[in-house]
Amino acid sequence: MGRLPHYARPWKKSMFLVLLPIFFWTAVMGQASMDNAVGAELISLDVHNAPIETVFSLIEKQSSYRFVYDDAIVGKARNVSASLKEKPVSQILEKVFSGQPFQYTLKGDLIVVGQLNDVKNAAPKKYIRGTVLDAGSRQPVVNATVRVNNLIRCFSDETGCFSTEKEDADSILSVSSIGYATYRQRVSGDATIVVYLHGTSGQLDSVQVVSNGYSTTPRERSTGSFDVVNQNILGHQSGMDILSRLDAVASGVTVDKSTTTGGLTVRGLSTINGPKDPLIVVDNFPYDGDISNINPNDVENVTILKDAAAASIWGARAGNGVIVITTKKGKYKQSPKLSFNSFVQTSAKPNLGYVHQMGTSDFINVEQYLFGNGFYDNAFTDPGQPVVSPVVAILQQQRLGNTTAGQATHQINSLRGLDVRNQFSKYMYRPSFNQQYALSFRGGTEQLNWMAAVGIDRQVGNLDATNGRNNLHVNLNYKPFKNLEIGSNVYYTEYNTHSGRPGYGSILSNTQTTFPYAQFADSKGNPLALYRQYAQSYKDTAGNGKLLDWNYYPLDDYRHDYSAGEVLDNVIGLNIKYSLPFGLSASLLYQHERQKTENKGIHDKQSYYARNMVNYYTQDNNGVLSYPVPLGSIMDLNSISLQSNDLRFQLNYDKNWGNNSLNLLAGSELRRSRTDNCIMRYYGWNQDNSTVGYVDYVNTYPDFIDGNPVQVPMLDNINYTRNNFMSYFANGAYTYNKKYIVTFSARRDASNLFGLNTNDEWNPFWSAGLAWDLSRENFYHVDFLPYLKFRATYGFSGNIDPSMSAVTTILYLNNNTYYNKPVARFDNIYNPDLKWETSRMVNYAVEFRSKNNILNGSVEYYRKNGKGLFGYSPLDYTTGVGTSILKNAADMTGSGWDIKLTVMPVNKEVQWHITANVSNYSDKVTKNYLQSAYGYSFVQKDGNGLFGVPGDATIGVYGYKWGGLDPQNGNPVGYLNGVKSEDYTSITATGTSVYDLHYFGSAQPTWFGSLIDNLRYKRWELEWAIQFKLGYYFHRNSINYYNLFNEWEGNSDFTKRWQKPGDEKVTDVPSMVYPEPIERSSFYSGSEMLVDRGDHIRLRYVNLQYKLPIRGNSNLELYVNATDLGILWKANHEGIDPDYNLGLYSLKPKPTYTFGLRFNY
Amino acid sequence: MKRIQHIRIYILLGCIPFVACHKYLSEKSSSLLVVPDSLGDLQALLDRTVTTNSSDPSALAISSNEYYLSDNDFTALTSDYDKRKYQWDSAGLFQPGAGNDWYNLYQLVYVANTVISDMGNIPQDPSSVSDRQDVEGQAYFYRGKTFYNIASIWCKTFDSTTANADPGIPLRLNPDFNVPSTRSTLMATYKQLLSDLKQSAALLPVTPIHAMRPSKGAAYGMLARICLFMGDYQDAYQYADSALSINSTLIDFNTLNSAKTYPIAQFNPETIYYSSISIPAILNISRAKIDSSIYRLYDQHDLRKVIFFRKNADGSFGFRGNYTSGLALFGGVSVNELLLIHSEAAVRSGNVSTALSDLNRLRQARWDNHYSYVPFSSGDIKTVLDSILLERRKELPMRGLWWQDVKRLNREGVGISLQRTVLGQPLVLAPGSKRFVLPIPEDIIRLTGIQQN
Repeated sequence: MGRLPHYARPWKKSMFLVLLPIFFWTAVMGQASMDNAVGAELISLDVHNAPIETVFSLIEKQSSYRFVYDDAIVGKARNVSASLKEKPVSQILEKVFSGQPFQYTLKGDLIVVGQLNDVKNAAPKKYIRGTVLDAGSRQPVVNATVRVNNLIRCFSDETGCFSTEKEDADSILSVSSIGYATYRQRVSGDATIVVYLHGTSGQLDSVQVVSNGYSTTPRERSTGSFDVVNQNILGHQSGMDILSRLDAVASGVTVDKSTTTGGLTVRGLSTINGPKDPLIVVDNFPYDGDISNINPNDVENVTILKDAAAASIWGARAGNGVIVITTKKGKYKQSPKLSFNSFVQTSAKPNLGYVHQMGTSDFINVEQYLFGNGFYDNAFTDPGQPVVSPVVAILQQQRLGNTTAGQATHQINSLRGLDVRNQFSKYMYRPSFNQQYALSFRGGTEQLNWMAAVGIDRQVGNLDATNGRNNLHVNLNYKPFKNLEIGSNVYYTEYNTHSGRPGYGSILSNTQTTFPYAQFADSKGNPLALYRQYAQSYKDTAGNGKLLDWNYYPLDDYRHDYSAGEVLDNVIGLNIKYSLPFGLSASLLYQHERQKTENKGIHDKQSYYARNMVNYYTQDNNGVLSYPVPLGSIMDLNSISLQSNDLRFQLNYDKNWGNNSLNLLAGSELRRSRTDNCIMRYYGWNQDNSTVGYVDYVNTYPDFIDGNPVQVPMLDNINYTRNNFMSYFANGAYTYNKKYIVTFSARRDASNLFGLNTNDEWNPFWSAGLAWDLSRENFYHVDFLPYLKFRATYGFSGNIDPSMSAVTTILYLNNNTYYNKPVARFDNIYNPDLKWETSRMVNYAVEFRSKNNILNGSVEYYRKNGKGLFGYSPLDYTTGVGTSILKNAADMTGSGWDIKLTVMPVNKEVQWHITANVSNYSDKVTKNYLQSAYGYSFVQKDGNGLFGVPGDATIGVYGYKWGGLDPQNGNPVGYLNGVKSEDYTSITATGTSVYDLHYFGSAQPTWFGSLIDNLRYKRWELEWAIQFKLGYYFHRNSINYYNLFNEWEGNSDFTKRWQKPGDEKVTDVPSMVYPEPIERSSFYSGSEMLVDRGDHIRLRYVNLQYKLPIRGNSNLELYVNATDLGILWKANHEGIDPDYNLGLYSLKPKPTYTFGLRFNY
Repeated sequence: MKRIQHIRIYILLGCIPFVACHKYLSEKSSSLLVVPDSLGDLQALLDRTVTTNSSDPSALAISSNEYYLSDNDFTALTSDYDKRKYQWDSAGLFQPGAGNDWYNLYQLVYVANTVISDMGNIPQDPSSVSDRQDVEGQAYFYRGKTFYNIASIWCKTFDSTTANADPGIPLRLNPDFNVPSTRSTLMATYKQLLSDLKQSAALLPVTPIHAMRPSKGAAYGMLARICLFMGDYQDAYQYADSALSINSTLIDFNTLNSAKTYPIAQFNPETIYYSSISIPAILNISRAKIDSSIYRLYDQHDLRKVIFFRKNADGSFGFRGNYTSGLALFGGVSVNELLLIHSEAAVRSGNVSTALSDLNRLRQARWDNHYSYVPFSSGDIKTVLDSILLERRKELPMRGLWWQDVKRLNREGVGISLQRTVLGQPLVLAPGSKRFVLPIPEDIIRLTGIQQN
């Protein structure tokens, strides 16, 4: 079907003025001819007995002409035979239309086909004038097809207006456009009407094209599993980076916030110890830079390639799924469009009450209890002057007789009411404030399209950390002549970060934490010194005033100790596409990316870090001080430069004959990426006059505190990586009668990563797929389900740990500090048994759409078999190569369902869309090649890196079996060899194997997804999303007495501890004993008692939009968005949000509110 | 015409990936990745002092009764494994996995084995013969020394009459980790470690570039120590003599400043080979208090009394005489130890005059020169031997040597029993107790199935 050209020419000139300075070759384009004489284009036609539609499409391919016709008329056509070479279009058309029961008229570059007498003889009688508007957005619908009595008459223009003549007094007007339900109305006489077109889900399967980074295919011709998240949906979330906006809206995708190893995963993991991240592709090529460089406003859509058929063209790197990000581009024949998007965003201070911190008074009681037991005695005689807390210092003063018992008790009691969380909340946290501005400008003529966008982002986080991003994006495509298209893409990013205040958990007194009664400021707000690192009594007197102030002031130390980073990223892409006859085309793509990152860690001379370094190294020779670490600031400089070059040559072949359609592509690709990393440290830096000090790294000096020989640390380091890839790929699809589709894809990669021997291994990955559009069969008569398609694919892929090599390698470190000679250690121990991990995946899908599009969606089932997955096998460390070794340790199977349903119960003036994404994924170890493994490796780590018992999930949650609390003393009771035991040393070491543990289930959600509800009424649109994660387990933190005593890490579970016989009936928290063996604490921390269900449902976001009534082409929308709205339901009763359970100090963010506007002109 | 041109272009473009294919794919992927194939690479592995010089085992120093802990300090200790070593328990003395003495020692064996086995792949080059010998010598030195350290913890003291039946250690002689570990006999263990050290003595240079690099003197010193513990006094004498002929410098303690936190300098002139025992919390100077029975051994004019010890606030003493000039204990080879070996081996061979001259030379260097030193003299071999053994206790505390001395002296029937009191509970380790041989880490027993002690 064709379109009327509606581009406004005056724009063309001013566009050149805008873009000329940016691109040199726009000048070239200015000279190119703009139009051909009507019908004078030279084309060829060589067909024998071909259907007329085939002929039309052949002509459309070679020329700028588009056919407009009605199926009913053309259905009566005779097949065409012709052999004409390089003839004017007009001559070809004469030939094609001669003898046909219809005729054509040229209108601009439209060839309108009509009944023989329609066009010539019809006399104007009546007029219908109208405006076509989107029922939801009230925006004009451009190029809607207007028919009267089933004959195409005209198309709506830029403003949605149309005007046509009609013959009969009583006619049926119908208006249709792609993506909308057809509008029908009986019209008599002259009429002026407004037509509201109702969208069909906005993502109608039949018209969607999917991109795999190599080609775009109409969805109807694909067999693979794709999920496209379009700009509209991405716009409903307002994160700074694009990947965070995929959470809850993309089907089959999980964003794991609860483990350190987690991240974005597509359809579960295919590997455990190999690389896990999905491949991110931005505009045809893998993206090496930091993904937060990409401005979400520049993204047109994100396609997630989920199954092997979709992803296998990416070869080895596709094992974990591929996410293809397509940025915005201009369109040919489009009048210039300006759009502006801006928002401000804020989120309140996090609630520190979420932290399960131990009560201050309890903490002090424990300190008194330990002091009474002599636990701290050694600290007071240790020449290393270890830090003790204020309470312990007071108790010691009392013991030494420097304070009376009454004074000490008074001092201690005055601390009991304090809570460091209040201090953090008062002095450190503040509401965040983010701003985003994006301006883009795009348009196109017949030969040229262009897009220029500028984005500015500013963020101030809850801790006053700031970052700013400036983007400039320019895209130009030019057709200098018919068969050639040249495109270029420039993406420029500046990204700046500056660290802010220290958050909860990052102000330290010892190496782990601080005490819960720490105070940062006095009553007047003046900074207070916090006990840190060394005994305060020592700091106060050390050096008799000759040293620098040794106190640590958390309130303003961050001003003197901070990091600042700067990223500059440039991506330049060029592509040339040349079309040849016979459906052949060749394209050459090139992309260059360069990212420079410079991070500065500054510890200025007032920072505690710099003062401590200077003091620690100060040499006192009979009162004469010398400074191995020079006085002044310390600066760490880290610069990373990343460069990648991609070159791809690709041949496409598209041939349609009869009912057959064949699309092939094949090509080769070179990719070279390099990083250079340089770390430098400067001591004695003087910011005022830009000088640095000299440092002796070789000799040892006795440290000031206890005279141990120490050297000044040298951190300088230089290294690089060079990764070269070479690949061949091919992809093909054959479609018969639009009903049957067969696809095939294959790729071979080689690279310099895989060690000397594996370099030569070209690993082939392939996939194949089948699709059947049942609804196109003649025998298909299911009225309520007009569209029904089945798909099935199978693919083979692999994964390799790029750090593996086929020889033993060593890693050079900095020179020996004693005699300045090079130093190396083993890096990779060659393991001849190690093979690639392989993964096979099948995917079955059914897609459907009900009558009137009330319901549409897809149901997919997939199954994958992983073989030889990498895992760490315990090793006899007598061998000297460590306690474990990477082996092909296990096989797994995983399977799941991805169900996507869109329901439109109401689609009139009020539109109601409900989209449900439901995914189920479960996997299990089918074979574990490892011998017995110790239980302690599995508990509390939620299965990281290890494979459990066959039958268990690959990432499983395990806990020590729990035998309750000992009624005598409140000791936790475990099991050893099946018998109740309190031999914690054996239980937590070699006495428990993985088979002896309680296995709960997967650490990753087995059911997850979202429900997105969208309501539109007139100018209003309301959308909210509910996200759920079900069927998984996590380990919760509780009191760990060992860490409480030694690291001051408390937990509010302390109050629930066993204190007297009988308590074991109401609590599972063990008693506090002294001394506390580490194994007793480890047993409780790893016990099954502390495993909870992770299941929860949360309100992900709410979005409200209003479109202002503005005349003309432009429109202005205002929107309000709220995200992180909290949990609606959770399975655990401990008040834990499983998404925010990482470590002791995990905070839960407050809701984020966004206020924004969008303007389009 | 046009089309043929196009086709040519396509063919040309299609060929791009093939150009320089091999070179492209064999480029080193990271500057940090190196295949060890030169002497420099192997030397670099041996110069990683954290593995080679700072991982001497702490098990024997912890087990020794040269020090004690207060009850409060003992209770407050965080490592139950070290508590059990201190209490001479019979099981659970080593934390499973990385970091225990077994792990650290065998890691060094792997480095040595890699160097020895890779040596064969490096082409001979006349210009680097001495470097080559040096590198190879270092590797043999480390292997021999480490095998000895392993045997000293987990084997009975060497007794030639039973060594063919006593279990030795797993002798791992090449880097292939697929070879299962099995225990050799004690005889085979000692044969191997002596042969390694002898080979290293032949290869190593006389003067190393640094005391952290093994040298001929270091190899002779290790051999002397081992032969003394084996009861091979003739060889012990010879090796000590050879080592002392290279360096026999003694520090005159009168030149040291006792006001310093650690008065004895690191890499001091007595240090022939420097290595250290990185100490766990239990051995920290603030906890490990020197038994007063040891402190009382020193004469009031013996400078070691002030140089070696630091008085704690509670009146107890801490040991600070480490040749590491810090908290770490010294485990290397030094002139003072060799002089005492020389002296003891001499008297045991009947050479009393040499024994006395060695002993007096050492004692004089430790004597406060404000007071005149009266040389010790006796014609009775037993008296001289006893005073040499006493001098060993006074000169070499906290080096992990006392435990081995007790074992070898008990082999000869001296009958020393170790005693200590833990939380009011008196403990005794009687001569001949099985617990003089420490249990092998339990996880190793499970992983390899080798025989437990």
